[in-house]
Amino acid sequence: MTQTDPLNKKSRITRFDLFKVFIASFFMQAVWNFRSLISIGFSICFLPVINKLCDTPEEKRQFLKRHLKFFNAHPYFASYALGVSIRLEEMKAEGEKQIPETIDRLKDLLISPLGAVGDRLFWATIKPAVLLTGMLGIFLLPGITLKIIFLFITFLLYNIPHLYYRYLGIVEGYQHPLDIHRYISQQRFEKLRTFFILLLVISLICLLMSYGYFLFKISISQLLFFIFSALYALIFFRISNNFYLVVLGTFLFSLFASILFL
Amino acid sequence: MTENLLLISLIISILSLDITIAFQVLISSPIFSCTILGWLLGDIRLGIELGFIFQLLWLGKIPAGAFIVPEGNIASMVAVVLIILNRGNGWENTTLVVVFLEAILVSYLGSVLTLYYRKFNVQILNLMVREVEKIHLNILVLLELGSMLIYSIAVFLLAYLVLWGSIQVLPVLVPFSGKLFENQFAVVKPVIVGIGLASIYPILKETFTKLPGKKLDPN
Repeated sequence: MTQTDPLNKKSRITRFDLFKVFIASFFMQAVWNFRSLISIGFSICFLPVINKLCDTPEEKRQFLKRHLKFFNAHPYFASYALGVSIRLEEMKAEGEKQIPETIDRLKDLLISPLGAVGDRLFWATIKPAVLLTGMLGIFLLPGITLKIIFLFITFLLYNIPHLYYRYLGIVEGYQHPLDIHRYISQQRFEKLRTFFILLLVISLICLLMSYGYFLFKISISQLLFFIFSALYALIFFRISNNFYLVVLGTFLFSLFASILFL
Repeated sequence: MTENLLLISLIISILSLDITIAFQVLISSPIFSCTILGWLLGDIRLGIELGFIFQLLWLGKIPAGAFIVPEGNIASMVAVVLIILNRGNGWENTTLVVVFLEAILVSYLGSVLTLYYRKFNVQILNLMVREVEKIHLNILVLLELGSMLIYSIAVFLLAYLVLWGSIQVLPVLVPFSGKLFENQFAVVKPVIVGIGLASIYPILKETFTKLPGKKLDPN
């Protein structure tokens, strides 16, 4: 099985085709289900290129059946698996043998790293960092216009890396299908993650201090209830994982305390 | 009012597609969605403020894999609509208390809705496998769109029913409780933000957890 730079030679798939797949990837989780997880959305992403990869109806049938099997990944990082699959399907169309088995095996191997890297980078770091920054901005900035401008910046701050990796994943997966592990290692995203961790820490500290000071200026009881509810819920969260129990328990207990003491 | 509620519920159902089904550009997060709804309902300042209050609360649960999280984005959108529709009733704090409790209920109902929607999608998968046999590619796209439409309709109905029911109940319930506790409920905003801060603890733990195998051997 040989590997060349497919976008530099005359290939069936063009950059525009990959762009169409990128657009389709926005619906990656559209039909999320408990049997095959994201496989339906994943399969439908191939529709813009399926006619270039399959010559006969039977090939199309086998192609779609192959990709409708169980698959899961972080929705943005699944684009790496998309790129890999497109290139391998193209190699199959060019006459390479044993490709279907390779696709199945590679996709199975990609499930864990794509989920782990994506969840850790986006769900656990970039998303909270950006939203806390957005909160800090709308809390500190005066005037509606400035707040809205800051919200727009917050929106871009999240979506620039989001869109970049969604697209880059397809291109890199397509260009390097067999050594894709080098492009999805945790270390590769460490600098970006560090930047957003710093942003998260700074935003969180600034938010705590400025909101605390704001409450202190209004009334000391508001500040005390803010600290009390945060600590109470924090201890409660360490005891129980039940979100509803902790939130309702803390909320009702705080209200009860306010009725008693205020 | 009915037409307005239908329109608002429709907007909520469209914005909620961003949660997991399409795009996922964060527009459904409270700081964005509450601002949009506030602007549409004529009080963008209140929309932004409520987005700030509700944002942290739902951030701690990571929607990884098959894990179903409380649908806080839908709950926040419903809550902001209710608070804006009831602004100026003289019971600001009590309204927020009652609407917050409703929002928790909506977030639970939303998660149940997501659970059944995902179970229902297994039927869409079966249909798709059948259509793949016939190579009906356009029908695959229609099935995907149909599934999204069903989710939107379900969220629309949830939002509409909660909004409609609340508009009947709140004018009775809020003044009744407000007369008793309005001043004591002045702490409701910091309490919600405080709980929100605590609820991001699991995500912060995840963020600062070092990966196994990354430690360097000093020898």
